[in-house]
Amino acid sequence: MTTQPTVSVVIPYYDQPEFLRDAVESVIAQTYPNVEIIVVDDCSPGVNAIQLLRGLRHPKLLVFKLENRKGVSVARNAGIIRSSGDYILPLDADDLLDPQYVSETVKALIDSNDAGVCTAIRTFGNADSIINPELDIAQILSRGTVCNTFLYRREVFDAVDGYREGLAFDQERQFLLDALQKGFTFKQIKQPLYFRRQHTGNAEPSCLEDRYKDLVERNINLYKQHLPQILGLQKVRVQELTVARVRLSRDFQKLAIDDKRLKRGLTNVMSYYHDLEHDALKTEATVGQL
Amino acid sequence: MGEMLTEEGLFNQAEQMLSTFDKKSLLNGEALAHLMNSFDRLYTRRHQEYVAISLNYHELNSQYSKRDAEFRKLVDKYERLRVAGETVDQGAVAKLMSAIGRFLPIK
Repeated sequence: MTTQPTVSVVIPYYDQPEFLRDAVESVIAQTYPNVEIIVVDDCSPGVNAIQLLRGLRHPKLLVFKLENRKGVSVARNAGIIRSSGDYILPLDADDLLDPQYVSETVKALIDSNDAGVCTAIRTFGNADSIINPELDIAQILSRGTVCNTFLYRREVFDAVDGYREGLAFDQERQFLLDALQKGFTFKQIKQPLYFRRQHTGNAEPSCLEDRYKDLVERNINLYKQHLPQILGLQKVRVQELTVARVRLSRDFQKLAIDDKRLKRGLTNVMSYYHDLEHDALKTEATVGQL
Repeated sequence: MGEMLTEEGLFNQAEQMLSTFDKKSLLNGEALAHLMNSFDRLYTRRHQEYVAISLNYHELNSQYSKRDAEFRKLVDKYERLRVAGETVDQGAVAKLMSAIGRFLPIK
C-alpha cells in the first residue's frame, strides 16, 4: 500500500455562489499532496460551478453538473462514484478545511483499524465555537451533533450503499448510523481542523418540526437496542442544564448582593472624600504635587 | 405536539416507556419520537432561560467591574492622602480608613 493514499474530496454544490470558491481553495491549500477534488453541481440555478471555479489551478480538479436537481445525497453519491480515492472526504460547499486537515486525518487513519476519522468542528460566521461531534450510536440517535465532513475508507461507502437518497435532512447522521450498524468504527482528532459555517441558510429546522419522527421510523430497531441509554442521555442533558442554571442563578444573586454593597460603599467613601476635600483644601494642593 | 411538559412529567414518561419496554419489549415509535421531541423542546426552553440569565449576569458583572475600578481609584487616592497625612485632618482620614476598610474585603 502506498504511504500516500489518494484522498477524494467530494463537494456537492447547490446555489451558494458566494462560498464555493473558498471551499475549493481550502482544499487546494492542503499540505497533503495526493488529493483529488470533485465538485458536483446539483443543477444549481444562476452561475454554475464551472464558472465560479474558473481560474483555479489544481492537477486533479473535476467539476461536473447533474442534469436535474437531485438533492445533496444523490450529488454526493455521484461524486464519490466518479472518484478514485482510497479515502473519501465529503465537504459542504459553504464549509472550509484547515490546510492540515487531510494530512492529519490520513495520518490518524492509515495505521488504524478504524474506518474513518473526524476532527473537532470549529464554527464560524454567525457563531464561534468548538464542537466535538458524536460518534457514539446512542448520542447520534439522541440528536447529538454529527460531523458531515470526515475522512473514511471507500469500503464504508460501498458497504452501506452510499448516502440514503430522498432524505430531506439527516443524511450524514443516517450514513453514520448505517456504517456503525455494519460494525465500522470511527475516531476523532481533538484539533478543530474542520470549519463549519453558520449562516441563516443552514439553520437546522426547529425541533418543533418533529424531526425525530422520520429518524425513529427509519431506525426503530436501533432505538430498541439503545433505548435505556438514549432516554438516560436525554434526562442527563436536561438535568445538567438545570444544575448549570441553578448554579448561574446563585452566582448572579451573589454578584447582585456584592454589587449592592459595593455601590453603597462607593457612595459612602465618595461622601467622605467630599468632606475631606472640603475640610482640607490645603492637602489637595499637596496631593496634586505627588 | 404543542404542549409543554414539565421536567418531572417527561422523566416519568421516560420511566414508563422503559418499564413497558423491559417487560413486554414493546416500543411505540410514534410515542418515542414524541417524547424525544418533548425533551428537545424542554431543553431548548431551559437553554433560552440559561442564556437570558447569563446575559444578565455578564451585564451586571460589567457594571460591577466598573464600580470596582472606581472604588480602587479612590483607594489609591486614599493612599496618596495617607502619605501626605501630616497635613490632613486626621479625623477625616480615620473616618475614610474605616469606610474603605469596611468595603475592601469585597474582592
